[in-house]
Amino acid sequence: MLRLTLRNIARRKLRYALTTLAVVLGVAFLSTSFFLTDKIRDTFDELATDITGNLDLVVRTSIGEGERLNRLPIPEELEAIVAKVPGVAEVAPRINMWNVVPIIPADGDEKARAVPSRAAPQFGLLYSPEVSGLQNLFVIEGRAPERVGSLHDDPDLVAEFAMDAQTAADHGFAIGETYRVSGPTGLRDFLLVGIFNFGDPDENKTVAANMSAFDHRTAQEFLDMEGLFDQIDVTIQPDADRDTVQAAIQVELDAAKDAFLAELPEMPEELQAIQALLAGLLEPELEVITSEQQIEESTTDFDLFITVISSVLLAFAIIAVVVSTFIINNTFSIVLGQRVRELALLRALGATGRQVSRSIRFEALVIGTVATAIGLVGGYLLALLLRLLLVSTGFGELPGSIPIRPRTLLIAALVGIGTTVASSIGPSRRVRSISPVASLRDDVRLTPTGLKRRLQTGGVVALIGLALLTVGMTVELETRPLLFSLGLGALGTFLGVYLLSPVVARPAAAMLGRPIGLLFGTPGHLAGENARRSPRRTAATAAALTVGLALVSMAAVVSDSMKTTIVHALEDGVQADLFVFTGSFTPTGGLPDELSERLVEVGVGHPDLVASTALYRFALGGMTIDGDAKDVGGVDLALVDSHMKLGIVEGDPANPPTGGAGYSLLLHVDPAADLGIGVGSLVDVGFPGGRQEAFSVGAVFDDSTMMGNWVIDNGAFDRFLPRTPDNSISVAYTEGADPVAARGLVETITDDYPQASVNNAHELREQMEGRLDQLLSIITVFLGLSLFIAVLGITNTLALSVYERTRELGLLRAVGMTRRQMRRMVRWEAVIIALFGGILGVAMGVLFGLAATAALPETFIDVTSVPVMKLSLYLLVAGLFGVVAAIFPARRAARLDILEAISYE
Amino acid sequence: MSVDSPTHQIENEVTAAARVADGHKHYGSGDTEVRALDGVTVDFGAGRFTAIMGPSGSGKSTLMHCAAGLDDLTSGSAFIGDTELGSLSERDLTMLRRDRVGFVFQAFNLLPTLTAIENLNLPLTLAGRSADPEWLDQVVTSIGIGDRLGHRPNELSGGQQQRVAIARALASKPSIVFADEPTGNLDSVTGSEVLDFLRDAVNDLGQTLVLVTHDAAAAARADRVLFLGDGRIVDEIYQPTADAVFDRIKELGG
Repeated sequence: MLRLTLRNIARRKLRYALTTLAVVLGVAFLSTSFFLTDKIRDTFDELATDITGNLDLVVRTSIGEGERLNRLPIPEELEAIVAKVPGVAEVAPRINMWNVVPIIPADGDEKARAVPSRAAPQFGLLYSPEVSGLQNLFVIEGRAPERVGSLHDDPDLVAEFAMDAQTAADHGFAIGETYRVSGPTGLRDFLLVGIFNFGDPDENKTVAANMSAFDHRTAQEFLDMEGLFDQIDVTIQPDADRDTVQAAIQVELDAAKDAFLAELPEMPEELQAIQALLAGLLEPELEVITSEQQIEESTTDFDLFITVISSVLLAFAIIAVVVSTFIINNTFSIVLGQRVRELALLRALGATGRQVSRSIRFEALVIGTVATAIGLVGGYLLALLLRLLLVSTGFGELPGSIPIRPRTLLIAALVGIGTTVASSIGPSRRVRSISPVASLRDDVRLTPTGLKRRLQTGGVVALIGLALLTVGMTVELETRPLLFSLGLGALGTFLGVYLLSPVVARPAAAMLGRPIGLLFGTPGHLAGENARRSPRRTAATAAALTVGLALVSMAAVVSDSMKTTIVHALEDGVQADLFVFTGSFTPTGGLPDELSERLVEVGVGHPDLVASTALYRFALGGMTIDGDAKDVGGVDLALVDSHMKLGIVEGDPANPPTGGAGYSLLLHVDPAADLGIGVGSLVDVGFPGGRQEAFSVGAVFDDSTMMGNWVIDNGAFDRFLPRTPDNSISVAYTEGADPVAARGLVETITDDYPQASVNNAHELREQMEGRLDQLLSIITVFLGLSLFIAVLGITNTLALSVYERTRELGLLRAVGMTRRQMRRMVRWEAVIIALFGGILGVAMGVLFGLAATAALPETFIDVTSVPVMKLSLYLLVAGLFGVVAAIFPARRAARLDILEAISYE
Repeated sequence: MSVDSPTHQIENEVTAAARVADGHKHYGSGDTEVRALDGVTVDFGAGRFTAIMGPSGSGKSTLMHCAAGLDDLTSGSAFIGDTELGSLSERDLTMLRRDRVGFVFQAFNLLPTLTAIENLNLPLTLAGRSADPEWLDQVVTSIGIGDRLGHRPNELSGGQQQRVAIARALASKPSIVFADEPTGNLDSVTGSEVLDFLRDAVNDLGQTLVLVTHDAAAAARADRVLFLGDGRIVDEIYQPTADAVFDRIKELGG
């Protein structure tokens, strides 16, 4: 019996090839998501180690959970203090300043432009030649940057810098040339003297970051870190005990902090500004931690990012597997249906029902195993391909081989073999009931029974799904239960609709088939009839397409609503005339202080053109309220009303009530209501470094799309979040000013900073829309890959149908159907199936999209919009997929040999 | 036109609706070569009912297929009317079958997805033409399934299905109808009715008919019976009787 099974597979190559292909694709997509996630995780784990370097201990300011982006610096005096601690071998200060961007010089017609940011920071570093190995920086060409002179003494002095090999190679930077670099203190020309590898002497491992390195003093001057470091790296003597040294350093740090704080009030009056600044820097706790702790912290930080990517990849893989399962199951049903006579003959020859059914399952096992193996190889190749794609889109480098973990192989095998064998169980059970007599009859069909029960189940499941969706849309829920009810609701609705779809398939195919029949004559008419004849098959085939299109349509509805929300926000929420921001997506992206300072001054000489300039900052998780991290925005509160329409409900941002330490904040009506506070209330706000301050509520507003829920003054940012750069700038023209002249004035300044882009409200809107469109198209492409499997599913079903209908097709050819008409008939059947799946998918996608937009917070979406044109286009594309899917089966049908077909058994 | 006229005497005066001249059909080559047709020359007279008989493997189906444009000859030529089939492209051949030839097969003559009347009209609708209503009326009336025209094949009896198939073959007023064992799957009573129906088509409608059959009784209804053996025409009888056909088969060792 087993040998017979294997022979069966060998003989019916085409049918099995089609089944196998569905499994192969599912396994390939699944395994590729694991391969790629593992590779990314490995790369970042390595990066976490590389960033930390070969040190033993790190001295820095302490920081709470979620505050790492906003860490405060330490005073440079600590370097000498730590160096004297017994057991310490070497100390090396470190500075990692973000938003340090080398500028690619103008070349012929090409204007100068900033090195584009990839999905990673652009760093400015302090390079210490004597301990470079400790920092993991290795000069591979030229030499280390050296001190040329003070940047302050001579504004035109050209100092030296080095950059990482990847950035240099990508943008053609060459040693011996002078380049402009944009840093926090402004623009400055530097001579490139060296190129280094990061992480490894032989291989640059910056992943996606850009790094520019300066000598000790120059780094402090240029990177706005005078008298400061980010951290001090410490190595200990070989015979020293690390715990002892760590404890000794901590003692020294605490003593130093107390000493500094004690000295502060004794400083002269005229240094009060510095005194205030120093107070801010000295208040935070100092700590000394081990390298392992730092590696772990970095790993955790990266994990957030990796989790996002791996969830997306996994979600995509799951969709692929679900879609493949439909196809595998469908293929098995059809193939077994076609083999009823052969199986009945086996029964007639004495095989028991159990034997026949077991041989079917064994077939599935063989197919599943072979397909899983091929799928894993395909998945690995796909991972290599996706890596190329990630590299070319600027995500970063992922050098080295892609790891193959036993976990990946195990899951792939479980899913690949599991779904195949599981798909065969239903049909193989049905096979058991075939009577031996069936081999002698002509018209036996293997129709599964129980359609009625299926309908009842489908109806119940769909109703539960819809009910859950409704709950998610209408009832106020916490995030987790909300996602749960929406996710489960969508799943339930989909499953219910899937179970019900065979009932709908017949009338739907008839409805779609009618116009096609009228327009395309008999082939069109026959196509409609063919699509109707096996509603289960049509429904199962279309289901794969339904999944993909539902997701794509949902994404379209959500993104269109988001876009409409933004457009409304920009039309209704903005008062200023011009906006300046960097093109980068990173949350830490920012503009140089010099640019802000110059733009703030722009109106001074031209009061007839520019009325005021407002600076905006943003810190993700920058503050805490009752221990909960909140994203906080910063702006000059006196100006905000003339640049933004926040929809002030209560209070006046420019004249906040006095109270507490004199700091005030603006907040959105929702958190105000949640916390039960209003104008004049005092709120305890936590900041990095364990600091706490009372803020008085200055105003309550109801439009959070532009500024978020929490807004404080830039003065408070300087005090508590001093390392946050200006994220964007807005300029308000004087009333009656000539917009062209005003803009021209602003651009004389911004032209010096290639990373800054200048937009009026209209251009800003286009930019935002462009970004959302880009995001949507990436999502669509990813989801579109599942549509590729769906297309294959249609091809599969049609190829099997053509095979099954061989005699019928022969008859048609004999009585005068031309090959073209035959191709047309198969093609239109595919189009009908595809459109059926497409309509169901788009309808469900719109439903899911509406549920999601109703559930999402107002900051993202407060207007729901259904992009009818785009959805119609999706339907058109679904139809085209049908045409593509039909190419192979149609050709096969048209090339049938008439005589063989007529006499085909 | 009447069957009573002594056909064999005027046979040469009747124009041929189809003919095969020195037709050869070989399969394979060398030692394994099979000569399914080995120099067959035959005319199928217009308005005549010709039966082709012969043992299995005698080449009778091959002759029909080649004469009808379903298959091509290795050498020699086949004509429908004045059209030489070998010179036609695949597409023209399809058109010719659609417009000028009717087919009735042993089984599976009808598309299960179409109703009886839709099946009947299939060659015409494929051509984008509609039937001559008077003619169609005549054909439809003659198959006598009246109220069942809107039913699908699985709701019709085997005999009814074959009548619809014959009606389809007649509907486009083809030059010639080829029927390949049309009663092979029917019981004798139903089979006899279907054969009567075919005979009537020749008598009443003037249809040219070629019938491939094993059954002497069926062949006896023809105007002329051709006997094939080993790819050649070995004998023929005009105005046969069942006994004469039966005797000849026995002689030929069928």
